[in-house]
Amino acid sequence: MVVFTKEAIEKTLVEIVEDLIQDWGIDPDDGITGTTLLVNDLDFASVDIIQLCVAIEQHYDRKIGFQDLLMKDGSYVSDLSIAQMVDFLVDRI
Amino acid sequence: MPFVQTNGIRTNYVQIDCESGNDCEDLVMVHGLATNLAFWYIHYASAFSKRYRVTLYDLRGHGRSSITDSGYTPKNMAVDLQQLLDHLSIERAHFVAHSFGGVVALNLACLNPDHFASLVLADTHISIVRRVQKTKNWEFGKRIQPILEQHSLDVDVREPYFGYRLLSAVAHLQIQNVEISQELEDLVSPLMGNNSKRTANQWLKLMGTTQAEKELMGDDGLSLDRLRKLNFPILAMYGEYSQAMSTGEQLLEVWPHADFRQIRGAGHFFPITRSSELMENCRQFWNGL
Repeated sequence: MVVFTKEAIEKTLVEIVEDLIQDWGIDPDDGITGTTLLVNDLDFASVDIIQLCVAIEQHYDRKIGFQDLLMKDGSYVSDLSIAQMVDFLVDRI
Repeated sequence: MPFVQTNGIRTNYVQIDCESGNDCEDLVMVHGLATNLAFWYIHYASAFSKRYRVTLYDLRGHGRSSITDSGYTPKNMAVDLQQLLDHLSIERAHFVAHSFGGVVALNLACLNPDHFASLVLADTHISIVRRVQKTKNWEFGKRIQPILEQHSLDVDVREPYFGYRLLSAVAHLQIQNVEISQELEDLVSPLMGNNSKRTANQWLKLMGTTQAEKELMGDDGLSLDRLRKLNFPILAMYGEYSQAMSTGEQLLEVWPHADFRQIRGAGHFFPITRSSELMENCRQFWNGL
């Protein structure tokens, strides 16, 4: 059975995010870290968040149920940090 | 998510496999203006994939699909969709479409009705009804107008394409970091979503630097005679407070075979604000086919 450590998941997530934003001209001062916010820091639009979710599901070859992360009380969350996504993935993978 | 070249543009789409095996029917979901496939993804894609293979895509000029100088007439955007279906070898599907997405879907239906196993139309407003609506009173609009005036927005709720103009006005506020009231945010947030300036910028670029505004606000090609010929199963749902309700009333006369539902107390964006109701109505409709 493959075990995914928190560090490995974060490394994978950062790589996927970097790949996604490579043409956007965005270069965060400290790189992408756990505190990086997708919308505020990287200017993600809703479709980019979905793109990220699909890319993660394809990478791990499984459905992850991101609606539980992206929805709160019937509305989209306004932003997400890399750390929040990592914690969610650690729980789901 | 994959891209495909259709009708001279790069179209972004995603397919969610059906959980019930490989023999499932197809479901295609078409979003409205100033949003993207994410509009459907979170609330619906996973739930509906229990029964169908679900295909979502970004309309021309939206999401991660190409922005072109022209080509935004509903008829041409129906060709975009037609070619996407051809690429995916989808000959027949159920469709769910919101707002302008419904105009695109109806144009495709007029072009090729055999594609349609059924259609769920959510709050779609057609141009022939918009043009005559100005003489009518839109009661809920009277409640919205003071909210716009509080923000010094020069938008008249009596305009036929009021919604498009509101989106542009709010997008300007968004990129200028102007704080807007919850009331105003509630009117548009299901579209702009996630406070993204990129979505706001994309909408302003589309409306300001391309032929989109002119083409989107022109004749959508949907005459009542053309619509009357559509005889596949249709569920048409309209928000009680929506400006589009007048189209719903017109279509009620055009399609005696269709199922009409009013979402009480809801506005234009009930697919987001009242998703469980739309979902349940879809399920009941599909179960009855």
